[in-house]
Amino acid sequence: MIYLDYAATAPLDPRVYEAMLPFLKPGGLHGNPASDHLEGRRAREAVERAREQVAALMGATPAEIIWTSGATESNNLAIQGALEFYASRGRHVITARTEHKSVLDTCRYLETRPSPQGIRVTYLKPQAGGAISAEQVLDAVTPETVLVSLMWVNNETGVINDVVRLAPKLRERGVLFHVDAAQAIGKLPVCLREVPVDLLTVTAHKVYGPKGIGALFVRKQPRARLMPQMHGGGHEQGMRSGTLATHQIVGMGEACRLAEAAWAAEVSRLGLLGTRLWQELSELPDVFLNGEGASRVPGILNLSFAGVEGESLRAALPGLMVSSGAACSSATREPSYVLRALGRDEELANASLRFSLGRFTTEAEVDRAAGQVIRQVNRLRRLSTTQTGDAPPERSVQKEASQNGLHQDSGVPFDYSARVWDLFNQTPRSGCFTEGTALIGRASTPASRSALVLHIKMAGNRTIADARFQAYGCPTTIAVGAWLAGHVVGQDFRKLSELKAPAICQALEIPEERVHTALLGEDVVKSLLTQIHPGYRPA
Amino acid sequence: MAVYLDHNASTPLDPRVLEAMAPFLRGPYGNPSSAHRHGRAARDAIETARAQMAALVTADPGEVIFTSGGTEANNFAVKGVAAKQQHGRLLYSAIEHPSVLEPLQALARQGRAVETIAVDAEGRVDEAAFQQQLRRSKVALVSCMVANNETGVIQNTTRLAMLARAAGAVFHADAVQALGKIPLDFAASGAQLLSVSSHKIYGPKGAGALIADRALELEPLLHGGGQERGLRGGTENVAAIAGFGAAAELAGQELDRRKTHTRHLRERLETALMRIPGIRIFSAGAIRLPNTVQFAVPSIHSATLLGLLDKKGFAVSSGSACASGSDQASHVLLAMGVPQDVALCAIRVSVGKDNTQNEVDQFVETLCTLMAGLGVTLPSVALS
Repeated sequence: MIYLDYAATAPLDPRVYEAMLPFLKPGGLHGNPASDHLEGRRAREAVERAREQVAALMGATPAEIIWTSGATESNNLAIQGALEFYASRGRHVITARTEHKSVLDTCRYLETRPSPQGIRVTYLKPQAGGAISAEQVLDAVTPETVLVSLMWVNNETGVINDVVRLAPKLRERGVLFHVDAAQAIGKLPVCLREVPVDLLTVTAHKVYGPKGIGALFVRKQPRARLMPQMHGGGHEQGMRSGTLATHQIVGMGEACRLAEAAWAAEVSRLGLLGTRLWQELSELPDVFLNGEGASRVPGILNLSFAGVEGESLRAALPGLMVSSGAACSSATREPSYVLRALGRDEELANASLRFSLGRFTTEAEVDRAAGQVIRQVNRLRRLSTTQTGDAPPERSVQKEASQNGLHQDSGVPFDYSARVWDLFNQTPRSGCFTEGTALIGRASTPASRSALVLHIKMAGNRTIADARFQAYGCPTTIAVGAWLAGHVVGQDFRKLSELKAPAICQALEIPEERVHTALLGEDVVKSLLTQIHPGYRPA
Repeated sequence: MAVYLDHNASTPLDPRVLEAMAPFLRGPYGNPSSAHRHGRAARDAIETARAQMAALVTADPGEVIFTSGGTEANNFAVKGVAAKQQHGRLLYSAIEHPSVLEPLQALARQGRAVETIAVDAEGRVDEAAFQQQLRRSKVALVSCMVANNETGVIQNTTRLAMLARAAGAVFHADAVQALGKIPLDFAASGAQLLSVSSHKIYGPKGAGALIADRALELEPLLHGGGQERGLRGGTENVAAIAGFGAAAELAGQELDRRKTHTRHLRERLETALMRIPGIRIFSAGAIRLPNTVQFAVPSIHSATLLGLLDKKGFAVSSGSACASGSDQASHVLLAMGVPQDVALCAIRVSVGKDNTQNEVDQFVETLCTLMAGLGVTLPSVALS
């Protein structure tokens, strides 16, 4: 198992865990930091120490750090809180299409609110490289503009926006500037004494700290103001109420302390590893680096693989933990809106993987990951219906899967039936015939962009002697092709007319929501029957 | 020697809960939204916790929405309903936690009609007055806590929910203090929303939940990411949620034992306190949480007494930990008609499952010594 998904979440650094333990273990410090007794005071001291550590990493003062439950809350608080507070200044907000969902969803929600809470939002489109330029932002500023919300580093591509240059210009124009720095902290030098942003979002679990804790930087001079979004108790200078989770805060503090000590060395190491991975993978033809040409943080590589279907690509790499874009959108299974905004078509956006390397990534892991990806992309491309020529059955794949230990520890790692999984991994009878005459059936479903081709050779008038298949689509589609190619051999072609989607579903345990793959199988058989017997009419 | 008697503020983490959390703190694990294996392991842990949480409050797992804590759950409930129901008054009992009353006050500043529901001298909702309020004009939301954090008074929320629902209002119950101390039945309660928190039931800080009727429309408080059925954005705090689930399961298993044990300690404490002339126990005539007693030693400001008790190693509180540091009298006691000078002397003791009889006895002994030291030779003032 290779973990290359650090941009989704980084594992907790063992040193951070050690720092958290005194606040978790029996007989430890369990008080409520808001309590006035000794237990409370000791928790409070730990909270304040952590506040200093977080502030130090970004060149801020401790009083400018407001604890939240994470980046999503920080982004919600910054945008809603600032707009509520500065409602009288104007109702226009500038952000970008490539922002994190927590920014976009908050903006969309506020757009739908009735006046006076409602706002108008400009969603900037990234340039070809994926960055939003300072000029684009400044051009969009109107006298009504209250707030610009822009991420420092894009979570999907690692592309850096020029926050350093933009911030003083927005300050000059009196526009409040919120920066989502969740992906920037620990990867870029962030010094808020020098960069005049007003509000800045950070989160612990991207810098080897715990989940469930983040912070919002709220500038003191000149003072940025917010209306609280979580009320009750008046914690955090009245800006964010709720019992402080001491152990998590302590963890974030320690994570920031470690990041500050290590970031320069870490960044150069990740740069080397990232380059190595890209060099190895660029041996493959038709691989595109998203954000190429733009300035990017080291350690994030977002690649699009032409000629393979996205779901199959991910399923073919079960031992490799990477993202198919942002983790938050894989919950909703939408193709990456960031890559779409970059101009990738839906198909290519879907066939993209984000590799994000981190503190515990080794050279050996990078090499192994590259090897797996190259093998699997080649395999899927060979299977594809756009290929010609005889593709030898892939033998190394089964071995690869066993090496991953998949079959030993938990069977099928995805929501596929064991039958589909095996056929997808082994793909017996893939390819086409290069010698002799073959009959070819074709079917495709434009909606799901999948296609199936079945090649058969007849023995005499009725019996099918041999078969091959080609497929482009999800693993179930590929499995249907492989199954059909095996199923038809030795059969009387006339019996094939009885082969319908329900039987395919049953044979491969295909669930209801994937019945379209079985229908594709039925269609390819029908197409074949019209080849064998031109007078054939499906019933 | 330290004696912790402030369990309504926060409870120590149960070592068994830490065990359930540890794999998600130590091990390699992923973002629950990621499609890969580690992501799925994290998601499974969350779903297990959801089922454990649902079981403790007799809800459906699909009704559990995890949050960062009780404060977020309460804000979410109140603001989530108010955003979807633009018309109708918002009612809340006068003794609600600040995390319910402050978001309501914020809505009032934006122009929403907001009203408090009065309580009687024991801190119980005045049902007759409440019914009148319901009749006056449309009510969108009624929020009433199941058990009060300061006095421990338990409301008849089932009855109040029935009245509210009959009047067409949504009923929200803040059960943060009740959870794990008394049985809760969301399905039978009539409430559509129930707030709970992990760190009051020996779980970790940083996790809570809003139990929400799926038929109810709610506006998210935290937008973005699509987690929790799109109702609560943000990468889930897997370790804390797993801990919350484990704590919920333990609370269910040990509920009877904890109730009996804490009630015994509380009664022993009250019996001793009642022997001290002049001490006033609040809400003594009401049904209360088994573990909570709030009293006043009139003429000794609670800050003074708390400071002295603290020096002797006793962690107790005046009331809500959230309001600590402020020099204001408890709004709960004032709503009950307690005079300001008496309310300023309030001390809350909340015992926990691991406190001992000996600790309670030491507390009483120390309290008497301190009072004597302050020259309070047990005032003969009849307070009632």
